[in-house]
Amino acid sequence: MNGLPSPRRRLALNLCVAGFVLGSAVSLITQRELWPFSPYAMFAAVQGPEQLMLDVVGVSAASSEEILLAPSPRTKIIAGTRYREMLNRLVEVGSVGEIRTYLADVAQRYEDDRPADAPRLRAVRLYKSRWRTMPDEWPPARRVEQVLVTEIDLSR
Amino acid sequence: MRRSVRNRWEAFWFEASAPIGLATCRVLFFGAFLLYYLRISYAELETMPPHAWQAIWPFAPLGLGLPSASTLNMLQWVWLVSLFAACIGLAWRIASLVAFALGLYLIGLSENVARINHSDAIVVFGLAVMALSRAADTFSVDALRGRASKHPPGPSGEYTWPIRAMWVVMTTIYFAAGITKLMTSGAAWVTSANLSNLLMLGPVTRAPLTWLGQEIGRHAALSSGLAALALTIELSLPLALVSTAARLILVPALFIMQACIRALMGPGFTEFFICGLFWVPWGVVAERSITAGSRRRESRR
Repeated sequence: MNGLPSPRRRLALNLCVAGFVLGSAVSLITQRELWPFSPYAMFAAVQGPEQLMLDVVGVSAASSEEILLAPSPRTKIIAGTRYREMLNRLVEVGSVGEIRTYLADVAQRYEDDRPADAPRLRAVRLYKSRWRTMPDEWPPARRVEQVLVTEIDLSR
Repeated sequence: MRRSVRNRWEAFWFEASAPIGLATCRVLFFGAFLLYYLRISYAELETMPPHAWQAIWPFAPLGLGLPSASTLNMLQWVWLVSLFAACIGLAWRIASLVAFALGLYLIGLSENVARINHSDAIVVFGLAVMALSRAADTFSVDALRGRASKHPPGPSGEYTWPIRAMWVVMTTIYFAAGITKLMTSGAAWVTSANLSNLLMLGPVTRAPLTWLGQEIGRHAALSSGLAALALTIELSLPLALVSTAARLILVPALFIMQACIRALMGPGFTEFFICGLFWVPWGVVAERSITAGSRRRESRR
C-alpha cells in the first residue's frame, strides 16, 4: 500500500484506537460515566406521563407578570438539563439560605443583562410544578400542580 | 483468512488519500467549534450555586477544583486562539496540542457541574485525533511557509486514519446510546408510551423548534414506530464502517434523526452535527471542484 505510515506510528495509532474501544466498552458494560467515556444514557430511561419541574421566575415590578428566568442553552454553559439538575440538587440538598442567595444572584444577573425595554423585577420565585401528558387535549401536556418553594422580595 | 482481516484493517485505516480531504475537515472542524465556543463563557461556572459541583474522574482523584473567573477567562481565550490557529494551520503542532489540552481541561471542568453533558466528549475525541494528525500538511499557513512537513503532501494513509477515527468515535457513541436504551429499559423503550410522553412533554422540559412533536406524541403507535426506527439506526450504525451501501443509507438517516430530535424534542446535539462533517468525502468534492474549474477556464479560452 502506498503512503503507509511507519510501522511504529501504525502501532501507536492502533494502540490509541484500542484504548478508545476499551474505554468505551468498559463504560458501556458497567454503565458508568468514565469521562470522556460514557454509556450515553440520554433518554435511556422510560419517560412516564408525569414530569416534575423547578422554575425560577421573576415578577415584573410594573405588571406583576411572571417572567421565566431560565438560561438560554444557546449562550450559557449551565442550561437545559444541566440547569434543571442543578436546581433539583439545590432544592434537595441546599439550605433555605442557600436557595435564597441563589435567587438573589439570578435577579442580579437579570438586572445586569436587562435590555432597556425589559421590565424591572420586584421579586423572584422558585416554583415546583407537576406536568402531566393529556393526549386528548391541546396542548397535550398540562401543569396540574404548582407549589411555591420560596420567594425573595427585591424591593427591600 | 488472518492475513485478509489484517489487510482489510490496514486498508480501512491507512488507505492512501489526498491531503485536501483532511485539511478541509481541519478548517471546518476548528472553525465551527471556534464559533460555537465563542458564544459561551466558562467564567459563568463561578456563578453556580452550592452543591452543583460533583467532581468526576479525573478531577476528583487529582483534586482539581474550579479556578477563579479570571483564570477561566484567560484559559478560554488561549483556547480560542489555539482553535483559530489550528483552523488556519498556523504553528499546527503546537496549536493543535494546546487546543486538545485546554479543550480536555475546560470541557472536562464543565462536566463537574450538576451532570455530564453527553454532547461534549466527541469534541475532546475530535481534538485528540486532530492533534495526532498531519491535517495541516496542505491548505494551511504552515504549508504556505513551507513548514508543514518534510514530506511532499502526496496521497498517504496519514490523511485517511483521522477521518476513519472520527467515524469510529461517532459510531461508538450512537451504538452505545442504543445498547444503553436496551439495557436500561428493554423493549419498553419502543413498546411503551415512552417516546409519546417525551414528545408531548418536549416544550415543558426543553425548547423544540416546532409544536409538531406534541402532535406526533398524541399518536402512540406513530411514536412507537419512530422509537423503533431511531433505535434501529443507532444499533445499525457500525455497519456504516464496513459497507459503503450501509453508509449511504445510515449516515443521512442519522442526521435526519438528529434534525428531527431538534425540531420535535428540543436538544440540539450541535457537536454531533459539526463532527458529521467527517462523513463528507471532501477530497472527492475538492477534486471535482478543481476539475470543473479547469474545464470552465479551458472553455473560456
